Amino acid sequence: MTPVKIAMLSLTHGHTRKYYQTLRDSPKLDWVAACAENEAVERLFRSTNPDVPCYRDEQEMFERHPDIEAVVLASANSRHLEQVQACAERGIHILSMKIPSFDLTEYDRMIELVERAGVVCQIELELHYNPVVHRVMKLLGDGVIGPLRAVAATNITLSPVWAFPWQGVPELSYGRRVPLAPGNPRFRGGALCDHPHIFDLIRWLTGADFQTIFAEQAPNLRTDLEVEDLLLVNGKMTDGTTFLLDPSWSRLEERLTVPGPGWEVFPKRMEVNLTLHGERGTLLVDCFGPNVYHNGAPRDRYTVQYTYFDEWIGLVDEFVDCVRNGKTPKINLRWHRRTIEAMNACYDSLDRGQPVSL
Amino acid sequence: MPVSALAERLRPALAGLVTKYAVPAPAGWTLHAGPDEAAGPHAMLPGWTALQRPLATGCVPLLPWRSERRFVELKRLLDDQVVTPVCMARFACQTDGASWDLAAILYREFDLAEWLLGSRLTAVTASIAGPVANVIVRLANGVVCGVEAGAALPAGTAMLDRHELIARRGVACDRVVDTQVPQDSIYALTSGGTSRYTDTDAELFGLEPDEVLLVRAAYETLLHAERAGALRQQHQRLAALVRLAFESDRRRQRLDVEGELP
Repeated sequence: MTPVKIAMLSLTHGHTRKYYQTLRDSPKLDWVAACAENEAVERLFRSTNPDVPCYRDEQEMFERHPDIEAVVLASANSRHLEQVQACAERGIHILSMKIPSFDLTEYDRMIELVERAGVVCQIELELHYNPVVHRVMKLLGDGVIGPLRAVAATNITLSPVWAFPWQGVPELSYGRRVPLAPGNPRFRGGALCDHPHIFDLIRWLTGADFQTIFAEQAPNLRTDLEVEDLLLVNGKMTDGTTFLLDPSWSRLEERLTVPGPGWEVFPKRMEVNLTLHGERGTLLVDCFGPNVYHNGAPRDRYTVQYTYFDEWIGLVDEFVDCVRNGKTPKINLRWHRRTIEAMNACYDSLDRGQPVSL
Repeated sequence: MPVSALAERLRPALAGLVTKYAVPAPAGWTLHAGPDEAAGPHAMLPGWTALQRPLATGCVPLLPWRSERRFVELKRLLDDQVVTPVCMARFACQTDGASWDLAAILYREFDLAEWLLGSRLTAVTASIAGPVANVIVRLANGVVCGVEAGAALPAGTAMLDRHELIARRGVACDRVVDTQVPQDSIYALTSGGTSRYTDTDAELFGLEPDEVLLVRAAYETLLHAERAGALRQQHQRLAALVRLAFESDRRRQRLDVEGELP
């Protein structure tokens, strides 16, 4: 199969660095160019990827590399619509970061653009390619714990805002400046916007959609952020499954402008744990563990050295298969819309102080 | 599972990787679960299964733990000097003796010591009682390593192991602090008891963890065919080190490796 010629846009998303390695390693991809959002991003990119042509203007990049077949949309959420439009107009396939848009009018415009152009738009939700999650799905499918009745899930991390500032700016992350609630000094666009995975996963696990959602915000750990960093969410799915979700930035970090060793203050900087109660048993799940541990350089703190991180292989496999064989990815714009609706419902619940029905 | 059936299960998985990544694998490669059927150039088999008999010409003994990501990460921590310099190491490996007897465990742990620590064993002092051995080894770089090896767990018990690297700056370990047994990714609690699962490789999902390692090790060998000779040499060395450990116990002596190995 001919490798897909791919480029990266903006380079400002938290997962950007992971793609550098993926785009180099995968024999299914041919990384032809990148476009940096600003001078600082370009400088950093060139220091680690001197062999990849880097531009500051997307139009120029596309014109100089007319062979680009696909892009990784590694940008702030607020830039997604214009970039999707630019790609759709050129017939370029899109591997999008996890939030296409919280504005459902914009979101529907993206669906229209992508479908009219006949391009693939795959949303990057890497848990779908996690081998632990594969095992969970198999155990549920085999009926090991019987019909699912309750789910508790964490998707908790440190905050990436110091390295990726747009994630702390309401207009760039959520799309506009909306107070969390009347009189609340903080705005939509923080930890919740960073953590759609468990909202998506519970739909996948149950085969149901959200029925009611309630969200409660805790006082921020980081008092200098203007977006939320701690919240809990509960409710019910349409099949009666009850859930409790924690999508917080509840692990503190060193405020590095470039992520690297020593970033974490708490030993494990990212956790996705699930407790699944069925009618005949319970599954306790750590999607990113066990690992290897140390207290060495640079800060001599006890630290989890992440050991099993190969989700991007499956993600790229699916994307390339969709591009080359005209398939629709599992996490496509239409599927993902219900997840975005649920996340918006969390914000609506914070605003009203009551559960919200979907 | 009979060894031939095991190999039949693993070969398609290996062939899938070879095809997916277009690896220019040497023609005629085969993967075996033991030495009985392994013959011919590019016949790969788990190294420790060939401890009791000579390797057939051209066979490649695999050291699959070198493909296990927790050991790869530990090695990275040392190579990158995140934890440095290592002064002492404490290894432990207990099995039920079925698929890993004492000699096989020593073979594995001695290789891990040399590979992780980047140095060769220079002295072995072993104290052995039946299926259990307590061994102290010294490496050429001065590191001292203790190896608790035992094949005395109740039948059906999964391998319990731990590898701790103690340095002037930091300690690295493949087991989390305050635990005595390996953790798993999933615990299924049902009326039938508790089942545990740890899946680490989405591309080889469906294979057992030991099978995944064997396939990965074979894949690496096909990818880097030039390493086959080094693997054969290391196998001969490890087999001799294992014999040396038993000899140390018999003589009740600390034995220098140099001069004792062929």
